[in-house]
Amino acid sequence: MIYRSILVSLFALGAGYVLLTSQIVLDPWSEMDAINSRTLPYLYGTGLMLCAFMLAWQQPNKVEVSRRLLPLALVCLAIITFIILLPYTGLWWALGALLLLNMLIMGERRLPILLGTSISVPLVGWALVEQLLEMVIPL
Amino acid sequence: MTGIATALTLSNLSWVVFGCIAGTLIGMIPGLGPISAIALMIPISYSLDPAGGLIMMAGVYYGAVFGGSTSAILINAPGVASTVATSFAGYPLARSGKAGKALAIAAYASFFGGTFGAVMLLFFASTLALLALQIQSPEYAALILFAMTSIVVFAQPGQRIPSAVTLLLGLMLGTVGTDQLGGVQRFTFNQIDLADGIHFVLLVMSTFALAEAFRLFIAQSPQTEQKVSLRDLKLAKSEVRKLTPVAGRSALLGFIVGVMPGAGATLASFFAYDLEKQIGDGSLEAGLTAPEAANNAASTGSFVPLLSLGIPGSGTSAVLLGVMLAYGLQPGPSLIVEQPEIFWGVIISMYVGNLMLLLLNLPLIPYLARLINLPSKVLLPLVIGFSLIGVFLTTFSVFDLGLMLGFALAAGLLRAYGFPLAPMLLGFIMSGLFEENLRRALLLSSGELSYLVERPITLLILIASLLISCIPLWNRRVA
Repeated sequence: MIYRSILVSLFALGAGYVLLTSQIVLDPWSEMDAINSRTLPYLYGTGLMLCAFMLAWQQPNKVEVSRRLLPLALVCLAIITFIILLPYTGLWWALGALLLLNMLIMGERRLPILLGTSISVPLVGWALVEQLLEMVIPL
Repeated sequence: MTGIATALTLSNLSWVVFGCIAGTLIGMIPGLGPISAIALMIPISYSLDPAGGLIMMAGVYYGAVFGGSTSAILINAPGVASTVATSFAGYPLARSGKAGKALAIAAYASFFGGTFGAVMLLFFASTLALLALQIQSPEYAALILFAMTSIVVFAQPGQRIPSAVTLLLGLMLGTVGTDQLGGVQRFTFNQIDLADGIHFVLLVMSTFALAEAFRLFIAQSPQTEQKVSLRDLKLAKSEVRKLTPVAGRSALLGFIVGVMPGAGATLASFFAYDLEKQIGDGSLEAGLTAPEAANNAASTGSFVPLLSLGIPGSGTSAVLLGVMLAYGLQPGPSLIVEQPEIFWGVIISMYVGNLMLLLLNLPLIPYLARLINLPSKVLLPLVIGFSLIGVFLTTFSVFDLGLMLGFALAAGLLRAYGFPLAPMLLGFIMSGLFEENLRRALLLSSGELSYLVERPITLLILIASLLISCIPLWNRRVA
């Protein structure tokens, strides 16, 4: 079922890509060229549609469906939190929060490890990137 | 001499040692191979001069290849495809109480294969560079077409169409942004963040490091503790005598396969393992030596098209090509003429890197193995964190981080259903190069497509592409 959905998505992606390609605005001279800004994207999009169609006749690989999808969704949520926090707290505080959240989601409960990792890694990162390499983070 | 002088400066030697250690540590983490290791080190490399940065990357590359073999042997977790064949004989050898010997054989075979490849590269790189001086836009376009054909044709059985799918996805992603020749914006959805296209580090980190971390998190395979002592690392004379010819023929096979764009270390290691099964004595030691020597020689071999022609032969060399382009270097014949210290420095540092790896890793094997025992509850958050800051420190774009998460989920899903992801990376890197060279060739010929077949080298490469694309049909007929 998921495999079929992937194939349909790939086919739709190819079709959408071809549609967007047809909307690329060309200057009058380029339109006359044998190969212009649209030519290769047309080929790639059509190729993808064709491959997705051909794969529909192939037996998919056997995939074991994992029960750990909820924790994975939580990890994704932690990453989204990191992305949202980034402009407000800065890179290193957001990184500390990300590490802490992800370790908690993955089942780590020992306080020294939780705090040690989520404080020391951003601290080392800050020292290396901002102090040693003198990089300026534009946030 | 220029290369030796460049590679043997104290600072560059320090960087190659640092690269070897960092590469080994990253490569040992299941799921993180040479591509991820190199991608993770990109922010550090940007702070170095081009020679130092590339020399460090050569160390990272070798270190990661060797590190990957370590986890394949000890816990049967071949994080990258090129070490899958290593685990066939390496893991049973480790399970039979010879974990130290298995790691030592892998280290010696890697050293042999890498050194063999470096010597061959030293010999062939200049020859190919001279040949490459004849190569212009039409030939480049044909070569890239050849590389893309190879990627699909040399994919493992049953993987040809999935490889074509991911290659096409890579090509499509490569078209996002401002068209360099036409000046028009393509597939940007009026997003200013997409105007310059998608950064290759973003694609590498999302499809390899982050997607792999997700996959490992879902799989959560049980960890088995392994203990290795220094005494286990010695080989008897009879073993050396038995394994040297195996390493020799496997390294030669690996180098030849590695030079072919798109074939790469994975195919080389499988070929060598199969060859040894057919003509060898069938021992586990030989079964481990063959893929290890072959994948290291192939890794070096993939530098031939990269350094001499500017064509990436594998996913890893595609990342390295991106690093070189970021430094403002154009790999190819011009590099050897205009910046010989970088060209030869990288080649010599490959040999130095190999030697350093052997010297550093043999005594460290028992200690390095402990990293694998680090709980995944700590390891995976670190991998995820490093991937995200790796991209942010390269692009400084919050939008890119969102894009990265989307790509990682899509890549994880594709990989779970057997779609190989390395062709996507190759397609992405080659997309711009292919289009630019093809269109430039047509500009030179006033739009005449026949110009492409009038040039002998272009015609030859196009015929070669056509011939190798017939291999699947031929195989089907023979079967």
